[in-house]
Amino acid sequence: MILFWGLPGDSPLTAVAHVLARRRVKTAFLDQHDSLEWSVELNVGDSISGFLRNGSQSLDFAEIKSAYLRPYDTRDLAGVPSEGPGQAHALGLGEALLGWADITPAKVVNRPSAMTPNNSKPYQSMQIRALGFAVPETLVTTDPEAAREFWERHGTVIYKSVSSVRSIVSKLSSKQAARLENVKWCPTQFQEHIAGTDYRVHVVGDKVFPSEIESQADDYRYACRNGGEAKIKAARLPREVADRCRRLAAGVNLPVAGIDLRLTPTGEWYCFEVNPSPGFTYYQNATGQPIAEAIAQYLV
Amino acid sequence: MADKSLLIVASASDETARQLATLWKNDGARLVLPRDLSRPGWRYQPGQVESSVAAADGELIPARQISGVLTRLGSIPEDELIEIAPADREYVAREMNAFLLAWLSALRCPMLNRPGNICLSGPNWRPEQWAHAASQAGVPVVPARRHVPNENAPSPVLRFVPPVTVTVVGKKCFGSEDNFLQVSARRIACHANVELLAVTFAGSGKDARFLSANLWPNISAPDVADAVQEHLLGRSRHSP
Repeated sequence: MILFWGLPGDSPLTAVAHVLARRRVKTAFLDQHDSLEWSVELNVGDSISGFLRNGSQSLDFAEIKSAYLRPYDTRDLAGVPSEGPGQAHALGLGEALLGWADITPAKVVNRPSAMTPNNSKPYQSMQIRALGFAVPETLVTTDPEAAREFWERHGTVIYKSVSSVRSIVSKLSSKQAARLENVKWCPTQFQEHIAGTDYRVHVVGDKVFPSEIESQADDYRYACRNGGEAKIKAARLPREVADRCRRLAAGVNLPVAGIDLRLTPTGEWYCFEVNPSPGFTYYQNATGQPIAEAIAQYLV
Repeated sequence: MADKSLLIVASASDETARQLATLWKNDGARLVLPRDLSRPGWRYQPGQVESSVAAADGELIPARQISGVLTRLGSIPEDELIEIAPADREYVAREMNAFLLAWLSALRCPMLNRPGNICLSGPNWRPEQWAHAASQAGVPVVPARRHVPNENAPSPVLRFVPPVTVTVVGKKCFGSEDNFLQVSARRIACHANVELLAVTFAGSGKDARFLSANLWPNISAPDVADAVQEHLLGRSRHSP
């Protein structure tokens, strides 16, 4: 049996579930909205055992051969009380599932412990560099003068969050120069601007699905907000770069990963980030690449 | 005064950290409190950690002057960031945490403990993960049981066995002379890739079983504090 955990409207979960339904593979969906209807019993000693139960179903952890997890923060879910036993129940269910997912012998996309480096971009960038990709020169600082020096040295720099809090990647402009004084309140990340073409590469096991993105925006994910657009098309990578992507995903223990690359005009490949829970359907819909099929195949 | 600094990353309310900072003053001990991350002067370029600078205790400290780091925080508590606007504290705490995790991970000096993937003090494992790790390390365990909701949990009837806690500091162990417990505690610490860990067992001798582990042991006892200091200053000696 394959376990799905997340929300019913989640596009990647739905896409993979549809593939498996078509193949008549047995699946179980644990809808986070229904967290309060589920109980869990997890025992870990020399072996791992237990059950997930609601009114009509009982799922034996031993029968779960693989799992695709895309949970949202339980505290943000409508229907989960903001305090009291209801919240403790929902959080406890989440803790049990995350704990199980890290130690089960079942295949898991992706194990929670492998996803956490994404919570610190400079930490992850060191993993990326160690696994063979160039990364942009970066400064994290609370020193306005250091930020100015870095800006002067590189000419064009971008700033973005240090943590996994989603932020719009933006170029630092002269209008913001006065605001640089504010960096003293919080470590702020600046990065040399790397000109070039963006690629999103989805790795699923040993399969690689590269997409090329054509956009003038600093952050193509938000291109339409500024009246721009992002055109996405299926691409091919040099074999050596595709292999590096496979090594990177395997090296950070992510069977499914969304790798953000940029190819410079001089032919260098930079890596910015490895997304451990990629919303691949945005790219699949644009390119027709069978990413959901590949994930389903990996899980079976 | 020492020309090196020994950093203690701790909460502002951590009395043990304050006492150790006073005790280790001659070795250049300095507290790094959450609010210090809101001081100008921090600089870190990934890949160039030797040129990084910390801002702590009112001074700028180049990384090359840092002899060791004791980390007594799992993450930056937002409620200590009183100089930050309340609406921004959660975000700022996460940014500080992400920065500190990257910087501490990059430092090459002795550290207790090195950060894990998300926790500043090592692997922030749940009880089930510690039980699994102990079992993988070949140590008999009392199974970790989680029942949600709690009211459905059956009450296990267990014979009471007095718990024994062994604190691992590098190669040294404190809290029990029991060789089996010491070897087991070191194995679990090694499996978790940490050098500072309190491991609690039910019973002692060959019948002992792993109960729990704690990344933040009480290190205020003089012999434990001395071992921590020696380890951080690179002077640790192996147990006989």
